[in-house]
Amino acid sequence: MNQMMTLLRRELVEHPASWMVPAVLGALFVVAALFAVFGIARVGIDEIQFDSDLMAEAADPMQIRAVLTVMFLSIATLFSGVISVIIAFYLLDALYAERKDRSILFWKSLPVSDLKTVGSKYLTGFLVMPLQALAMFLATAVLVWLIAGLAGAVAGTGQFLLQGPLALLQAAIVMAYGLIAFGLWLAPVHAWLLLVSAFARRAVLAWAVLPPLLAIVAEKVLFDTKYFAFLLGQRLSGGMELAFSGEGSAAIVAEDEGFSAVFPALSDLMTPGRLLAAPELWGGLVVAAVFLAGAVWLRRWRDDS
Amino acid sequence: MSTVIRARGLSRRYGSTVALDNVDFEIQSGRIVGLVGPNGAGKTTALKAVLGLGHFDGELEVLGLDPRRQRAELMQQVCFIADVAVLPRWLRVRQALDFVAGLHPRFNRERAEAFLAQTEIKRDSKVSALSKGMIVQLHLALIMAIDARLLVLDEPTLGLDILYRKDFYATLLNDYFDGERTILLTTHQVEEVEHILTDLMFISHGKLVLDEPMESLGEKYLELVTRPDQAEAARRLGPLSERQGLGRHGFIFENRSREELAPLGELKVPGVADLFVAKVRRTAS
Repeated sequence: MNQMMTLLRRELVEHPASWMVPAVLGALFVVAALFAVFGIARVGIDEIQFDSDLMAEAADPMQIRAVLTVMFLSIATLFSGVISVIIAFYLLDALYAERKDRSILFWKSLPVSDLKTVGSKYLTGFLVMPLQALAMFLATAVLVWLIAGLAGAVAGTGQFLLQGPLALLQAAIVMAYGLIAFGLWLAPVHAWLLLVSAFARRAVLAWAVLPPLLAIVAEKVLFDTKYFAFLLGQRLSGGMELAFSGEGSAAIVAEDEGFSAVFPALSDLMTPGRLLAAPELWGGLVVAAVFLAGAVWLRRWRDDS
Repeated sequence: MSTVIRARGLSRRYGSTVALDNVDFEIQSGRIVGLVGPNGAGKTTALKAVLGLGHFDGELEVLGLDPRRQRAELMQQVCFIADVAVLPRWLRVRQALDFVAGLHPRFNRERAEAFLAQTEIKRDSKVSALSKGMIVQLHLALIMAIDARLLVLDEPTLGLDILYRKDFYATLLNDYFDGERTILLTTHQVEEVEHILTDLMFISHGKLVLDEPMESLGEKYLELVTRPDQAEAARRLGPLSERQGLGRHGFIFENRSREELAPLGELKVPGVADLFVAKVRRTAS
């Protein structure tokens, strides 16, 4: 256990982008919120302007909570997208960097099995980095909420302050669920990146991208079919259509005298049952396990000299 | 005393080249063994086999374990420094201590701190900011604080200047070696380690061409220095090597008695470097 914590810490020290980039992103949001409430700039979602007059008019608590949830969720979506890109590049680098600088020989002089090492790297991408993004999102959202809430209080409604925690909780649940669903769904892609990272002598990105493209071209030429391209497209589009219902989605609609906002119940929005019942998910996990076993084997036996 | 490493028929090929060719050897505990050979002779391949870092054929037991199947277990008892450049450059000294402490159950942090206190290395420095000599000092401090039974060093002082090299071996001998641990090291700067070794192995073209305790070298190998008029007589006795200089001929003999050689000139124990050249030239030709 102590060993695993140390291994995970090592990954975060070696790859600081996973907290630095979200931290910068969060700071930008906070600055933007400050600008918005001081009226120096106006930050809009669609055609709705978030200025204090509007806040004072929209006194319906449910609507305010929906607005906040939608606002928090759009921030959360951005954090999730950013961390996904960081995770992909991290996994591609995780087993390659230590071979490139030969520090693998130092790590291999310590009594840690290759399974544990590769496992720690996968876990970093699957769990630790998403948690970092979630934490950074929460910190950002709390600050944005306080700024917006205080501005609302000054403008005459305390509803922004009151509704904030619940909206934030809703957004955080959706984000956490989305990240888990995303991680499970993309497991074969992530494991593939780790495998390439353990395998490629150089040009990891090319090794990650070219074989699937070649497979698509070969299939087209040989059989004139597109099954692999279809599978790959379905995988990369994220599986979100399985994890989320796509019905009764959140909406903020402008009306003559203000706006109306709705946010569906979480139980209507999230469909974990459908995701877990999908054979594609389990098939992907099997493929991921094969790729990971390959990465462990390569780290154990690969001899670069 | 117990057997630390036992190898029988150890072999390794890379494609058509034979890096290790059916090598047998044993290393007992409490020895400091120098594995000496030219580049590409198979030194590193042999060490990799011992450390479980590569495939090999044949039998190999290290501390009673199979390096192929029980590697993580083996690394509890075995430490190694593979090359000067292997500490990751992004690592800070403090983090290096943290990580080894977190990953190695036999690491004694106070001991490592004490070694570091004798150097100018700062805890907050990154490895990338340290000089080559300091990186080796740091690595040595980490390794020496691990209570291991076998320490393997592969060209540990490569690229270091002479002061650091001297210190390195002095520290190793004074602060680490306790007569029970075993040290296996490779180098091609034989002169530097000659005086600390208890055993010598030469490897050439994947074969062990010499495997002797230092104290018996003088019984098996003799260097004869003669005047030119005795050279022909010496040659008839089948020397391993011959060299000429300053009106003298130097011959190195294997398994010839002192009585046989003494009439021809002066006798002495050959230096390890000369012996190495003699042995390796002979197997190469």
